[in-house]
Amino acid sequence: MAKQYGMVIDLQKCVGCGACALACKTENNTQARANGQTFNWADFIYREEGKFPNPSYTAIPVLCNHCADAPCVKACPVKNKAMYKTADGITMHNDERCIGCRRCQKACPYSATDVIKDNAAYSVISCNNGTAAPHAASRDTTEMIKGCTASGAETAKAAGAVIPNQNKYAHPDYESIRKQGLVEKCIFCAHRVAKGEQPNCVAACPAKARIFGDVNDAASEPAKLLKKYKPMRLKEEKKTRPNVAYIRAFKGGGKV
Amino acid sequence: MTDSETVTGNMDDLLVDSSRCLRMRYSESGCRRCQDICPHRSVKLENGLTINPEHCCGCLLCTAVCPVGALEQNNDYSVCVAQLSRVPEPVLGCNRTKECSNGILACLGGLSEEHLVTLSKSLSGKLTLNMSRCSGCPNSAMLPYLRQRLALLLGAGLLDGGCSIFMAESAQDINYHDESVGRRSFFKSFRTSLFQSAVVILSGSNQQAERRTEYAGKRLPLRRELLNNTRNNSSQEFVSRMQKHFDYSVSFAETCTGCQGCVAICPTGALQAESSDTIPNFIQELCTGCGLCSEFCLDGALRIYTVE
Repeated sequence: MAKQYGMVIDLQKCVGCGACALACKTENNTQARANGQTFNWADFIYREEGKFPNPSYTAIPVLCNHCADAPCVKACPVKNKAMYKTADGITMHNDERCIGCRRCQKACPYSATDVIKDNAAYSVISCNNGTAAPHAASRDTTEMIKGCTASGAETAKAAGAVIPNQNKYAHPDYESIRKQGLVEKCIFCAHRVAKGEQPNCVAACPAKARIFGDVNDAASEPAKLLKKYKPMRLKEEKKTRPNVAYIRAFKGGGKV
Repeated sequence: MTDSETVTGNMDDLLVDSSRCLRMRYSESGCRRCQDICPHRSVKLENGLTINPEHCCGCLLCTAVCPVGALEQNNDYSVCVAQLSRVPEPVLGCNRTKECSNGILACLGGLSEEHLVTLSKSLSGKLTLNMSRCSGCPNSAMLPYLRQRLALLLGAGLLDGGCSIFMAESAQDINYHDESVGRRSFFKSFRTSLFQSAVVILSGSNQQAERRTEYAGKRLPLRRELLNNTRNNSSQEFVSRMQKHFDYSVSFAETCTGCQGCVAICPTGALQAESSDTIPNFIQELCTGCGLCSEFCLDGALRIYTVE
């Protein structure tokens, strides 16, 4: 069976601390929210339900589901698709071929073209559709406190990178900071996985709630967990065959 | 016998930029302009734009019909124009007629309407197109196209006021003079040759047959650039004639959702986003009428039509 990378998230281990989201932002140099785009490749659905004395609070970590039948790939209009499936099942995005039409974002059941207008909790695909280059704060030349603080641009220049803590990784399909006008999304840290490392969100999780591996390999950790517990996947009814699965949801809360 | 009897160009006369091709940008695009005009059946579009180097003879007809510069001539046209401007009655020839031509294109099939208008406007007197070796050339299929282009331009009054363009199909019709080096014209030719050398240096060497532009980048095809330069140096009345002949307009129906997909797919940057959910701005000078926006629009809201 062909390789299919996937992730299992153990909801009883996850405490919703947000380490995964921060680890992702530092690893992939994603920018701050702007123009209805989250740029959070790793994000959360927070849900508060019920009334006292039966309230419940759920935090579900979300990321690109790397669907086996990825609608974003189908929607990509470019010949030799800019959004494509790799041999190991990662939904990969090539930023040279991407024209920024956002058809992928519209097609993806887990994305919104504007999270504010659509009142969406998250969007796994983001698009830098603004007129400014990414990381506006690090390109800003105005001093925050006049005559006192350095501007974002000065700090970035002194640090030798667009953002002072930029992680300059190299990947043939991707630049470590994506250009203006293109979409971007989680790539399962393909640049790390290629070196035999775990995606950074997995490595950073203090509760070891995220388990990453080849779900088609029966001997892998995620495959064993999927066999042991009944997994739940987001929006399974869309039949996109997502490869991020959740196990051991708390019974007390509502459905996830 | 020299090989000029059999010589033709080849695929190296083309500069291919796949990211501009309508078929590459939008896999559902029905554009087949290059395939339809190619007399050697060397263009294949099924799996993206590919050219068979064994069949291509460098007739450059595809470069004259590609609306977006995915296929362009691999030479510097400004050098050619500079060479022609050094003589009062220049002869423009091809690979086969190098010996008796003042300027050279690989094949005159590459003279698009835009090229012809630019030539007519930037030269004075009489320009002879050297077609004396066209008969028997594998690329002779370009002849009717070139005749038709000239006729269309004449009809539209777009050759008025420029040099006259004459297609010479037999050797007797060609009045070829090498650059004169008489005393009076010495300084003049010295100046123009300096200018020409500068152009050659500035243009650098463009020997590669492939150009890579990012898909999201916008680039105006050379033909349109030539046209727009000519437009900037022309009278109001001539500009309006050019508009009628070369320009397009777009209209947006009410079904437009302001998704800006057309802005992204447009290869030349003629559609520009004003804000994230309104109808985009249209810049007529940058539109070459490829029609990709209209093909691409999910809502069927975009229509493109000629100005006339």
